[in-house]
Amino acid sequence: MFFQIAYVFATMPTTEGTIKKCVLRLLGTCVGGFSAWALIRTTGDNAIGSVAWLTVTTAISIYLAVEKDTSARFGSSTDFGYGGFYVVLTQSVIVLEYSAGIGDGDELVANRIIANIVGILMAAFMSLIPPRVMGSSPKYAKLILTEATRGLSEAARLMLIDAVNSLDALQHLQESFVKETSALRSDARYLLEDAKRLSSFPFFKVDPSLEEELDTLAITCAGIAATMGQAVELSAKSQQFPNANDATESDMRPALEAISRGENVANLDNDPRLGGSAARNLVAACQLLQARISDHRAALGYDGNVVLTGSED
Amino acid sequence: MSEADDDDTIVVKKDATAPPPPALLSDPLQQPVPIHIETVLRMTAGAFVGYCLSYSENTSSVIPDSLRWLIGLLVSATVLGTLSVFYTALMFGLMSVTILLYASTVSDALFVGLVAIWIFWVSGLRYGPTGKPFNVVGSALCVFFGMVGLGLHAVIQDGITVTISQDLLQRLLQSEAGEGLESLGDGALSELVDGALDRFQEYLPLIREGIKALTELLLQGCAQITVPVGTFAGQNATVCLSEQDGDLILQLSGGTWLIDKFWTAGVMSPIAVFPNIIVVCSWAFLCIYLSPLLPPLRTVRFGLSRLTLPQALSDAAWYMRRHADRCKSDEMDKAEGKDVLTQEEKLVRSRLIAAINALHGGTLGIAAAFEPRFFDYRCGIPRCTWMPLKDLTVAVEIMVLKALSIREINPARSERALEHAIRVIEKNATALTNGTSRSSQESGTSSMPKADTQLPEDELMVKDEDPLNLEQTSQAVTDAARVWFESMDPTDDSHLTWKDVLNNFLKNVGLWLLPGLALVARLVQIPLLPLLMIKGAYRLHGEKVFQCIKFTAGYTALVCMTVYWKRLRELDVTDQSLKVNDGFELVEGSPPASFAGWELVRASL
Repeated sequence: MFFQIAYVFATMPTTEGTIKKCVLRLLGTCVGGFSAWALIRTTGDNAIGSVAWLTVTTAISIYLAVEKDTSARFGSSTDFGYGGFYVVLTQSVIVLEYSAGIGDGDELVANRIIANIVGILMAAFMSLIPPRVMGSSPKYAKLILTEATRGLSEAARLMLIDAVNSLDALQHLQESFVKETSALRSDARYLLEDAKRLSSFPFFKVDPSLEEELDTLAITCAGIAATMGQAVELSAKSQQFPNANDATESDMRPALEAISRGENVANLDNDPRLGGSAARNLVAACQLLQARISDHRAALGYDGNVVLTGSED
Repeated sequence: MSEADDDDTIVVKKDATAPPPPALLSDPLQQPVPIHIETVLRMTAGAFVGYCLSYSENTSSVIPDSLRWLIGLLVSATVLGTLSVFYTALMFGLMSVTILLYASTVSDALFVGLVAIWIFWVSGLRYGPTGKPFNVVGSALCVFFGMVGLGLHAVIQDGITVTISQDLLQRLLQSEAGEGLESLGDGALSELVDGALDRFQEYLPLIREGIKALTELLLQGCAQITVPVGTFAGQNATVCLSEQDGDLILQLSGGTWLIDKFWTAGVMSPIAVFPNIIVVCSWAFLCIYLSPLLPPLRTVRFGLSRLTLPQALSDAAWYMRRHADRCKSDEMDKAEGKDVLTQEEKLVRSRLIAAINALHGGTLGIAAAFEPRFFDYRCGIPRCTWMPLKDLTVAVEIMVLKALSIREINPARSERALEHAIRVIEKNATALTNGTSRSSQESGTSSMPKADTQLPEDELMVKDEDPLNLEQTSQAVTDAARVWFESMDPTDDSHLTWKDVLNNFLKNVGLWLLPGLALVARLVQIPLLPLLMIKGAYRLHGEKVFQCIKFTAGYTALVCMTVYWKRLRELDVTDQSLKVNDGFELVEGSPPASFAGWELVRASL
């Protein structure tokens, strides 16, 4: 049964996470197995000696498994904590089974280590078979970017419609956009966190700029949501943008049309910081966000249309 | 993608005139032991108690002897991890194992097939909106099945066979007979004889059966007997005398009756594996909870409301002030319209990004629900504090996101809105850092913004000046903070009705059930996913489905090795000489617990 246990514990949501956990599990199993073997050889059936040994080695393992900063409050390290975890687990399994009379010390140590290695190899092998879930892949960031692009262009399209008719649609768009991007972000971060553990491991390294890109994408999405909120406010006041009757705002419609097509546009004639109507400021904000999206597209190597699959909901 | 990509628009430079960023708040209760040492001591204490219970010898009345060793293992395994939906997962695991074991009595193929389906089902817990909290549950369930289900499968298939050596049998009979007679006084012995004579008629069929079985055993070498008393009463057992060495071999066949016994043999009986697992897991759970309950109590409530949230607000205020200062100065023009971040701004920006990741969705605030306030009510009515803390966390997250987005969309004419928002959130940060109490409010020393924090009518900003709705967002933080303070330290309970009390109580208690219900809901949802996907109500990434299929295939392969490869199964119990407990040798199969063989012998004799 320890084949299955090792296999289950070594399998993680991503391929990178699985391989790195296999390494941690292997190290933890060997160290824990050795500690258990040494304990049995030293103390045998002596309960006090066994509890003392287990407690001291558990304390050392936990010390090595926690970060040395405030994140220690939340338990063992997400980066390397599994190493200490498996030292404690392996030695506990062997020593407590030995104390229950289930097996001989040497055989138990050998049995558990071999069973763990078989389970670990199986987990590593299965995770490497394509297709794989790669947390370090920019795919999940691209999904957020696709949603951001769609949200901004849809907002721009709605701004071009009669304000009265667009109010409900804009409100719905803002709600669904926040929900969708939030779910996508949670998913992307969950997989990335799993993939980037054991950062010192030489293989399956995660590009640190991907995490930064995810964070800046979150900020861009917050900006888009805020812009949608402002559009809702203006729409509620039945203020149309651009105001068809205002000749000074004639350049806003082409700008919004371009944004609705997902294209970058040149700045409006007036620098937005110099003033203008609320609608004009809103369109200027959309322009800046569109430029931000272009930056994200370049950073993520987004060279084509990604089919929007969305978050799991 | 390279690291330089993001730096195209961010030119790092040092601004000597800028105010320093807010200092990191320190926990006033943390001195003098560092956090990581305290964590080590707490977790080790939990593990220590678990180890002690595993080795204790005088607790047989409350801890099943047969599974005592499991406490130390469970504690050491979970004290370094978390399992928030402990009992829901445990009961689901036990029910699943029971059903799968019943399937194994039909055929091994059916057993393996159903195991594969079950593993595929459970592996779905790793992904989806609940993937993060339930990932560990999915793994724990698979491990649980491996430990319990596969172990018991061998018992169901092979039954239980015990060999009693000739010498041991002789010693045992002499010892039992001797002790039995010695322990009876003259009076008691005569009472026993009188009683036996009175009930002779009742015992007659039993004696007849015994003589018949003994004759059969001596003449043919084997006899079929029906176990008269004990846990296995009514079951047919085969008793054989070995021709080679005269050992007595007792054999009980496997089957569904054993699965029934796993539930119904009575708590503490070594055969009642399932109830005993619940008892042992409960002990392990208590040990695990010892770690956080060791004084001084560290709560998410305190850490979040007094450290994390005010720190995020202070950082957001500083970041927004830097932007406001920049807009006033000519720095933007010098940088040709490019956003320029100093080293300090970059540092605070990274802290703010870390904050929005930590505060996302207010989940941390919900954790306060699992920290009941036993000593802080001051004879008042218990209030629900997790919901206001969650709302406050979400309000701060939105505020921080807006502070960060200001640099993104660079809204025009927002200086007044910025100044107002900065003032409000700075006050909120100070109030949260200090906490609040009735005394501070009564003495007027509370730094909380006054109830009327909105600008006077003539100062109200038109929306043109506040495109990011900063006023509304900062006001939301103030409102949420006020509700939070009120829930923690109610100023007046007199207006509360019984309905309010009930409402608060249900909110406090209800959330304890929520993780378990969420797990059940997710488990129900997983088999329905194909249907939901066809209806367009659910979207799923293909590679995640394939990852689950791969996981299932690997696990099933290992199950097949265990079920069909008998030699491997034998290896799992180490060498044959170790299947002996005080001379009772387990010949085939493995007992449901380490002393199950003894129970059989005790019942048979």
